[in-house]
Amino acid sequence: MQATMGQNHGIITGPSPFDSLPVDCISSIFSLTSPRDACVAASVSKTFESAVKSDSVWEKFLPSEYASLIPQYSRVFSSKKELYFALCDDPLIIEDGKMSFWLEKASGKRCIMLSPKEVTITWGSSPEYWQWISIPESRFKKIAELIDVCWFEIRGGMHTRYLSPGTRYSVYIVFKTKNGCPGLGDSPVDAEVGLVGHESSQKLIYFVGPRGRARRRDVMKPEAREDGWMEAELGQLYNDSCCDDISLSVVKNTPDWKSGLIIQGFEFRPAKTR
Amino acid sequence: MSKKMIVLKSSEGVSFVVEEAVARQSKIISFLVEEFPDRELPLTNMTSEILRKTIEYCKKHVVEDDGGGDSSSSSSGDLKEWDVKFVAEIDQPRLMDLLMAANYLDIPSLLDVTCQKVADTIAACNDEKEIRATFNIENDFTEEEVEAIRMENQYPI
Repeated sequence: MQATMGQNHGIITGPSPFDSLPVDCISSIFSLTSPRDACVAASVSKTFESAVKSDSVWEKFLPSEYASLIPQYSRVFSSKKELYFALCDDPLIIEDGKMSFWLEKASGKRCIMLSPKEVTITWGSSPEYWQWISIPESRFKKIAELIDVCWFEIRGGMHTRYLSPGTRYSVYIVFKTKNGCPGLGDSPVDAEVGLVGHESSQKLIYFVGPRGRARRRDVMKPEAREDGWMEAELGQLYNDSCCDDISLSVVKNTPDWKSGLIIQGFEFRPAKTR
Repeated sequence: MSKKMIVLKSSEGVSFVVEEAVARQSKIISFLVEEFPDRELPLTNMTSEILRKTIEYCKKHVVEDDGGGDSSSSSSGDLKEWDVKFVAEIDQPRLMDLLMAANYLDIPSLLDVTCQKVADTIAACNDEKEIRATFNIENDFTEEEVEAIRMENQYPI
């Protein structure tokens, strides 16, 4: 190290302290930030840009099992950073088709969509009530279409080991409606999410929601997603250390006949912080 | 009970007499005292201020061999807390100097805490302009280059 330490204090035009650090040392600083911070830092200077490129930075942001996921892509990655962005942009099917997995781009946190095959749908195996359809815009081979039921009830769960520890997650039902989802779309539906053995959060959701005054403010509206599907938040949970079971339910068992709902799955992704 | 002492000399020529066990937390010094025993080690690129800080850190982190030591038998939780306070009290330019000292002298734990503090400082910046201002870094990119890098890094993500 040639540069003299402690000589440039207060001199604006002096060389940056980073110029005297080896690039791998700068890389190890970036690996302690987040993917978002590293991407911002890349446009600071040439020294930063080359340090951000390093595989050692992106290896820290990748999930520990990344090596076993690579074969699922039909392409070769020239860097760990390229692999990271692939895992953010192109979700993978894992656990024999039970779930879809990807990373949240800004944080590198794990996201999961659970297949509707992995939850219990009341009357789900009776084709006159529910059917299992294949459509190109779905991640899963078979997804659930509600044909006609009175008793609308879905219960399911997942282990928190598939999620990132120390993270608050939002849980969504991802769906489409047909013909306004008759008998169900405009009524509040009971949603519940929680960790088994702990208190769960309960709320009401709309799959469509009535217009004007009929719309209740205490019922969560659905939102359109960028991928063309709709989503409604069922609730939130905090995954402390990946050793809990999650339970979720969506229930509406009024006497009306209900139809016109296609469920792609249940999505777990980090809750938006204010 | 006499302890082996060594002398570290700063760039200003100030001598610091330090217990060998303390100084040996630096892998470089550990190597040098084995190769050149009983010599004073000139550290021509470290100011007295930074050398004093580095020694303060090493003193706190030295592991007493004789068990019932009279100093620094801190629990790891206390030590972590002490580390956080230690780097929190140092201003930005001196923190970088200390990081460079930790890198140069090869003191892994001091390098970890200083890197973490710098990482936290970068994370707290809103954009690349604020990072440049905070660390006094010159922008050596053209507008076009910045655009290309933003595209490549999918900025802002």
